[in-house]
Amino acid sequence: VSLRPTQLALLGVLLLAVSLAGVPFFLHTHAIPALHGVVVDGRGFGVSEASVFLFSEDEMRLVEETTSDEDGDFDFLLGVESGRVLVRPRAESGFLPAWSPANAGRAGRLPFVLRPARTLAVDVRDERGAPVPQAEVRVYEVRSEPAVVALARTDAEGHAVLLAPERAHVAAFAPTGPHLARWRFDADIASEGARLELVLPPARTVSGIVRGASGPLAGIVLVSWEEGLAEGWNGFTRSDEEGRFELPCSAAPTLVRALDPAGAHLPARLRVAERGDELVELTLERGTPLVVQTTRGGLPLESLVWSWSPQAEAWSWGVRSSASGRATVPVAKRFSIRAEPLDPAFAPLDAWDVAYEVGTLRLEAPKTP
Amino acid sequence: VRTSPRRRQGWILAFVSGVALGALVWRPAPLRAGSARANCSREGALDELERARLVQALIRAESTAVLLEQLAAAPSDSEGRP
Repeated sequence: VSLRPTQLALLGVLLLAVSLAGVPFFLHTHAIPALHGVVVDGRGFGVSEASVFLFSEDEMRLVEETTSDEDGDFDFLLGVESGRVLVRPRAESGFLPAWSPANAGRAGRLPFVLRPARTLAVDVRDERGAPVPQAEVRVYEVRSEPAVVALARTDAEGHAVLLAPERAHVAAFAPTGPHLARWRFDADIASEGARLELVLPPARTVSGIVRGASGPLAGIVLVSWEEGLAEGWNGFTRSDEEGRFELPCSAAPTLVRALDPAGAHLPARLRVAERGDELVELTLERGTPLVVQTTRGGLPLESLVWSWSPQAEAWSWGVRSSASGRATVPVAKRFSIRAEPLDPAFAPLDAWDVAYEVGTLRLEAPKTP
Repeated sequence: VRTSPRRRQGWILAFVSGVALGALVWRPAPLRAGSARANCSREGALDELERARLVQALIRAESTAVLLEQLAAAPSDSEGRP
């Protein structure tokens, strides 16, 4: 068979396209490798006999459990697509538990550096100063991806003792519904220990429905925050299949924010007055999807990207950009964008008061961080 | 008017090459940012972002609280589960 020059050229273009797509594209498999890792202390020495748990976050269940060996190494037999790993050292070790980042299932080898534990005593009281027994107290480690490292219930005296890192977010949740919370953000825990008091006000329930242009919206995140109170985050919930939700609120005026994690709708905000506004309705406008690309020297820079909606005076749900540095966020006709690179060496990038036009919004980081 | 097969293949080659070249060199045009005088207070919006970022991160951490509660309810092997 003889080929003409143009046929040969077409064949060449086809072969070039296949080469550019790459051999891995054709040989790609979905097998998830078994997870393994190492647990060390701040000086790099292995921490032995720590319990290591592998969870599936999709199914919210424990998948496998193992123990670190004398060098701090551990191996699981399994891998999980949306896996998350918890390391819990022995109580007498003096270290705090540690969580892997979310979706660590494909990470392969996971390193854990355990931090020394400090003692935190928490007293939970009501507004009259009476102790609140059976309140749930949580300690979150402060980092870009916080996680709960200690949980406890208060005793009959409203008292609980937990382990904590040197800086923590601490929350107390009412023992009975609605489970209103009170917070202490960025609390410093001294090396000799610390004591905190959290006051839980009387709670009420605000019920409502979230709608879009085509009907009720499911999976919308609703956040309730007491107006004017820096640590007055009452709680959050997600709307059900019929768009309905119930939120804990204090008796004071409260701001309810609605955020769409799917990124299709603009955020909305509603003020709930002191009493009598316990049935609310929120309508979310559909946003225009905008692709934001963050780069440095023309190369992708992975970031968390938010869009500001001036009408609602609210930020969208933050979206993590892909490996190509692109993220899609919903925007209105005018909007602002803030992108915070995952690498903290780079300063945040932003564009303020932008009029929407078709195209990609490119944000280029300065060459020298 | 009839086109010869050779000429038709030539057009196809030119089209495929053009698309491939276009995909390689195309770069999205940046949108224009407006004046610093936004219709919202930049400082106010950034204060609001502090809260939005914190709330989102803590909502994401909710699964760790649920999983820890599960562990507390069912002691692990290392704690003497039969």
